[in-house]
Amino acid sequence: MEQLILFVVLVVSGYMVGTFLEKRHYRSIEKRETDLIRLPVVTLEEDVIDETKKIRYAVLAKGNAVISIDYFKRFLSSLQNIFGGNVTAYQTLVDRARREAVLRMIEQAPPSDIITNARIETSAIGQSANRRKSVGSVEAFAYGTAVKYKDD
Amino acid sequence: MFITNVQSVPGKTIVDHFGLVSGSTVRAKHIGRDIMASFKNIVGGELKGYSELLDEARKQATERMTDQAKSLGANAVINVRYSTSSVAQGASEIYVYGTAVRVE
Amino acid sequence: MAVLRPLHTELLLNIKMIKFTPKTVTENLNIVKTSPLKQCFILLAGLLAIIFVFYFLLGLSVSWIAPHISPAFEKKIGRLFEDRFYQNENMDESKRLRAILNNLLKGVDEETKAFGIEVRVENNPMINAVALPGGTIVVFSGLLKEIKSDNEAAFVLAHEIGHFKNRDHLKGLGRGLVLLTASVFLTGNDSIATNFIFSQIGNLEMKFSRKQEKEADLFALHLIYDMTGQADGAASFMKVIASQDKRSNLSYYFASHPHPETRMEYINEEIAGLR
Repeated sequence: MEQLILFVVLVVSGYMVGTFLEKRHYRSIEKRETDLIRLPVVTLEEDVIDETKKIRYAVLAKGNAVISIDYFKRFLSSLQNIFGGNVTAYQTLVDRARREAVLRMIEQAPPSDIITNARIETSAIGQSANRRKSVGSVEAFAYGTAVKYKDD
Repeated sequence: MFITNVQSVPGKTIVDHFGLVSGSTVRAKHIGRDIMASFKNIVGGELKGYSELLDEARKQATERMTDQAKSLGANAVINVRYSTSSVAQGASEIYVYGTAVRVE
Repeated sequence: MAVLRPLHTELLLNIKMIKFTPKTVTENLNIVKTSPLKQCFILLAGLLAIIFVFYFLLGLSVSWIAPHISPAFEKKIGRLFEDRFYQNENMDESKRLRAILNNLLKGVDEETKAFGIEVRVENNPMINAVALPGGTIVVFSGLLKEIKSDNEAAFVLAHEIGHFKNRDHLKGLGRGLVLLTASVFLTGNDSIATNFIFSQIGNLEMKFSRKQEKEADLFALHLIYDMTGQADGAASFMKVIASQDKRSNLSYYFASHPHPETRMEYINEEIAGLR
């Protein structure tokens, strides 16, 4: 009985707090994405650098984010696992992690004009934090070469 | 030391290359972080401790790679790639590799 | 290591640049817009429906099979439990209870007598008695320490005879087996949902078990009353159990036996009805 109560409390609080945090995170992601829209991030590495300008520096830009899923979504995902089909519970988890990582890559690099050859990789981390063997937290890591032109 | 993940260092000319260099590190999360993480696992959201930990681990791996490149006489590592894998319970391996070159 | 392409010369040869137009993605197609709450409710409802169908079929099949198992086969099943329960027999107490049991068996019908019911007392601090398939009642010495008179012991034995008569031990065993198979089959993935299902089935199982216990209590009461014309053993036994047991009402919702207070209530009611 105590177990069931604890479970329900975890699911309900996970849903309420988790949804609130997720909405807030998305608002922040969207705002920063619009702010940074003038800076191109591309997966190309040729034909995107303006060869007519001189280059001041080119450095490796990196950004990472570890995002964990809330208890409600974890429960939902295990239900979806039984019936199969689209596991919608995880979609925002990986989406948030990747977009956050890309934003951090831009923000943490020195000011630049373009980020070329951007790569994003995702990995499930730490089984000990999520005791059941399912995915509980993912890390997204984004990196690319940030190029800054000489202004003249 | 220039590090890029494109096939050149933009604005520089490659004069010599020395082959593959790499760096790797395996990091385990310490217990304090794990406890915080399991609380955070209830409500979801970012695990700041883990983000920082993996960030540090990447810095260390990159340092190892550049040290290796320096010992070869290179001044840049180009076309760098990162990969991450969970090697054991609560530990992640960061592997970084690229081509050591000398640019002018 | 492969030879690098002379990139610097190539770049000098074709100087061209792709124009960049900043645009935002307005709609995130990576996220299917669904209501997670609604989805959770639908899936839970589906799951509960499956549980109930499963439980219903389980109950039906086991109740149908249990009465058809022959006493000889039952003895064979019973032998599987011998190692677990037959460890340290208390000879003196066994002898005392055997006399009470034989006396009680005079009052039961031929069908129940055919099970060849026996009793043995095991030295074990547990306050419990079990009816094993094959007709053996195992009483733990912990229980005998608590009950004083032969009347109370008679009630315990009559209660277990009631289980044999209703074939409860086989039903419970059958359900247990099916549950075990199902859980081995399903818990391949150690997920929250699977654990949740099995705790729920467990609760249903307990409810079923409480119903059986009540029936066995009433059977015992009638048996003793028919033979001796009195039933104070039952009431005083319940008092002993109640004083031993300090669990809350809430946990009894999930327990295998009814709350001692509840047992006392219906037993007193039944006694009043007899008089």
